Amino acid sequence: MKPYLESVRRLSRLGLILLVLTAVGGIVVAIQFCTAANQSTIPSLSDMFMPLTIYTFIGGIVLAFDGFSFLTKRADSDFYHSLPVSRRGLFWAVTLAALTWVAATVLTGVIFTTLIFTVSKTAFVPLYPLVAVPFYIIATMLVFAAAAIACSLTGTLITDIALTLIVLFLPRFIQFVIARGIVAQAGIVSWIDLPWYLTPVTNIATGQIVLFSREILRNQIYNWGNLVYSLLLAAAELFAACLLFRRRHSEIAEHGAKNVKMQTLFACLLVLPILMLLVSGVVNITGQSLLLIIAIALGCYLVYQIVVLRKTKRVLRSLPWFLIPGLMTICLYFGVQLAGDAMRNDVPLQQDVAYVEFPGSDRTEDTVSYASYLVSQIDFDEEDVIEYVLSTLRDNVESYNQYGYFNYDYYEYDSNENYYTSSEPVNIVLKNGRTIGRVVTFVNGAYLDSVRGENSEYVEAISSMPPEDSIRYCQNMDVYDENYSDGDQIRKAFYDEVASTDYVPYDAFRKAEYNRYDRYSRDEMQTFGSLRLQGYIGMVRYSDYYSICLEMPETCSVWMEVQNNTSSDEHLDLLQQICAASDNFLDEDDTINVTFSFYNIPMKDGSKQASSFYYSKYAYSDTSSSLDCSDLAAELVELLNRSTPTTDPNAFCIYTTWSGRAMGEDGVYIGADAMVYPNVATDSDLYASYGNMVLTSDGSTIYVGQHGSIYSYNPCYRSFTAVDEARVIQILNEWQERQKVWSYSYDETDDGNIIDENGLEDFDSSMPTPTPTPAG
Amino acid sequence: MIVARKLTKRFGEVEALVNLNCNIPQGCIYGMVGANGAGKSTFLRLCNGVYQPDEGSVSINGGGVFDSPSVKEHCVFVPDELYFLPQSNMLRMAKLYEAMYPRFSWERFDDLTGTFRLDRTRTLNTFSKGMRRQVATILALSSMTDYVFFDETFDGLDPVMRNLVKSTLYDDVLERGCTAVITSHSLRELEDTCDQLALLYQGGVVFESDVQNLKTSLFKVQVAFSDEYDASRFDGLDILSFSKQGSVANMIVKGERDRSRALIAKMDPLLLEVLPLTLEEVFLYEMESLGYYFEEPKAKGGERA
Repeated sequence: MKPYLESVRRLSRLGLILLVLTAVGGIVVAIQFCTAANQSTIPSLSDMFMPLTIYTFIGGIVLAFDGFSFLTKRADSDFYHSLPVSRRGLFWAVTLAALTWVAATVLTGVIFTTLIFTVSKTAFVPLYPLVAVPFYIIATMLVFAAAAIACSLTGTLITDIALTLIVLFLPRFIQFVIARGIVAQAGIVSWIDLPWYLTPVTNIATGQIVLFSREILRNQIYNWGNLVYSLLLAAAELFAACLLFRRRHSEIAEHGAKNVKMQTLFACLLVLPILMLLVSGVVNITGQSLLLIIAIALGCYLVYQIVVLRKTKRVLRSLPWFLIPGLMTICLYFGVQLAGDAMRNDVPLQQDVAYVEFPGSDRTEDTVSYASYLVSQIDFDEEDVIEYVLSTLRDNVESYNQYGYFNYDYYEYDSNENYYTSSEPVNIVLKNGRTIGRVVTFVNGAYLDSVRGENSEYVEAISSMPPEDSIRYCQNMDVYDENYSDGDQIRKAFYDEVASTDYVPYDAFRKAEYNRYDRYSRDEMQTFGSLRLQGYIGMVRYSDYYSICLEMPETCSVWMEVQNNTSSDEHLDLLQQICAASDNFLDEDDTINVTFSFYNIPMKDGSKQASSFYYSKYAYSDTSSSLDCSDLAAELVELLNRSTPTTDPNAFCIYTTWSGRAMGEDGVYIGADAMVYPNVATDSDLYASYGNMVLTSDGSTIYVGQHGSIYSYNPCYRSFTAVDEARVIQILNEWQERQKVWSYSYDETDDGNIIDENGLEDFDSSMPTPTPTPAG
Repeated sequence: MIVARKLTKRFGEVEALVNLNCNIPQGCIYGMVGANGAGKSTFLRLCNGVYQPDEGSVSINGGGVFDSPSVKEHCVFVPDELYFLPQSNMLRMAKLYEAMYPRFSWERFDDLTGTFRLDRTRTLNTFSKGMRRQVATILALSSMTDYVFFDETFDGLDPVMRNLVKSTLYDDVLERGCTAVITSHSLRELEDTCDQLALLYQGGVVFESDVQNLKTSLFKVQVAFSDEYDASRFDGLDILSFSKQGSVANMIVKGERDRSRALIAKMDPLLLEVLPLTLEEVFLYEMESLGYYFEEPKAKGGERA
């Protein structure tokens, strides 16, 4: 006990500094996140406790080097080894003292961060703090263990650092390189589908670094399997370090390594990562690259040996050992090639398959959709599903084997079928318990959906909405926002309508009536808005975006009602004035930009379509060659001023957003009181005013280039009288004709021809769906 | 008792100790002298479990030392290069020693600190080299161990402090039966302090004896006779060295002083003087008699060695 307490005291100086820095860092990060404007995301575990990720490496290494600092100086070493403490006791006293400081730091950081989130009522996953404590303690002790092994083997700070890097990163680097090589060679195996011994994030310390280059693994690292594995690994490494410490010759203090053989071993380990680049697929193997890599590796080897061995004779004698990492690299290279090929060609027989799973294409994203999450839990044991998956996998494999990539021309297409391709991760679970994970490209996604649709759980899953008590953000507002109820109204309507119909709320799972000639919303597919929900189930954060389309008229109506109730600054009268002035702008910076979004436009083929018309004019631009619809726009605006708000989604209606400015004949801007002068943000967010040239608060001058305008982006949905409606439709027809004349089409190809000759009677332009956010 | 048997320690190709054998009895002050690189510090480190022997063994009270807390709690080591916790003072170091040594005595610590007049709260970085050695000595003696090892510790102390430490050591030896092992490269340092002395040379103990016995067992005899004579006249004496100039002979004789004097007196010499030797001279002659010669340093062109 006393040696332990003494070690705690000895480590207190650096332990306290790190604790305070980590706690302060955690507080700052948490406050930044919680007070950010328009906060509408639930943070990931790593985002929430980012300072602890940094502490993992700094704390682990610093505490180890400080705790075992007596091993690098002779006087210190003599003193500690002369004390009446067993070497085992001394080692564990230092280790447990370090663990004490690590635990205190992690706990403090987690508690402070959680408190700030709780007090500020910012959404977070409650399980995260509970997972973060063991996660970061174990990760830090993994780093500590690597440093402890290094300190037990060598006697100088530089060799301690070098060996720590080797112990900590080299095995994982080799694993990473092999994994990368296999993924590159196999072609249809994702990082997530690798077996656990090749997955880079099972070691949760080095795994955090891997996430910087392989974000797709971000959701894989935080699981209990990895925690247990890392805990066992840390324990094993600490026991190994203790064994080495007990056997350590204390006379190593102030010396790099015990003898020439050890130094040569270190040198070989140092050059191995360089040679491994040839295995990873990062470097293409050509004669030139091969020579270059070998030359760099050999150069590093020689430099290291010269520095540590100091005698030319010894260096030359150690040269043949360089062949060992070389041979290892060759073996690994061919091994990886063979393993990748074997993995790709590993297609099980149907009779060996128990079921298949679909983990979801968004499994690599920061958040998943709720439906994907539910579908991923389903075991598909239907014969049709298994058969289709396996046959597609076989085709994928053959295509890769033949062409080296997935070749769509490999397949024969039925012109009567509507095809859409989907690449989906699939887990094939065999009867013997083995799981084969692959990313399979399904040429006929519709067929896949139909066979999956035979599974009642699947049908239920894709029709399910997230549990209400799990929702933390609705329409990008959290439950404590004063305007939350507006969004919640829409949500409730959506939930009720989904429950009462067989509507599949998820765009990805809804059976799309895909017609490649359709480039815009038609009939029930017309989309008025969207519902955005974010929340969490257990450790899983979901984020969903549901289109609110005419297939759900009740919800559309509520959407329109909320939008109308919260609309502001339509300034239709000012729009009319500026539109009139646009024929002859008086000021060179005058502009007007209007988007007229229409719903339920009656088409000649009997359908109803949504489409947008754009009217833009600038005082300084030459409009002679552009589409001139100013007269149509002016009349449309006049009719708009006679329109009335509507909440009928089946009605012919309009949603208008615009911005503009125009100098009046009296020298005053039209609607000057309503003009808004947006702040100009510089690098330092200094004060700025309007105009071309502005003076900032620090006295410097910047060119702004942005001027005051009237902005109207929060309008109502409006409908017309029958007479006005008829006139509006005439205007739209005239507008379309002029578009064709001037070849003014958003689908225009490079040679100027309109793509779709069959769409002469249809509108050519795709319509951006307005997704207004309720004011708040 | 400290027992070393065939103790061997190598550092790479260098053999620091080779088949060293010695017995250090309990309750004495044992001095170990030798030139630089003789193996003194290595021996002490082996006795304190800092190093592990390559061959042979060293035991204290019958138990092996290396990685043995039960044995090591009876020993405390004051090395040549001292170690203190960073930014620490005497009190902090005392707490460390208290944590490590079960019999650490605060009373002794307070007493010695007062005797040496050292400020316990002052940072040790601000102490002089000599003062730091005093601190190390105080901490070691306050640990109340049975064995205390000093590696060239006294070399940096002024004569007053040296006497103070000596007297403290004597008290420990007399009252508690403590054993002190002190190394030095200076015989003069050890002469007044130790009661046992050993000479270390090229990794081995070449000579070991009681100091008093050393001082009295070897002596110089100056004798002169009227007639011609040589060393053979003194066959009954154990003569280590004989030189004659004219009729006066100088002999280094080993044995009982009174008996030897009486024997020579019977020969009716013209001159007979029995003179004591310094410890250095004793060691030199003993080594010569054992066949060990120190090499003369090589002269550099015109310089005298």
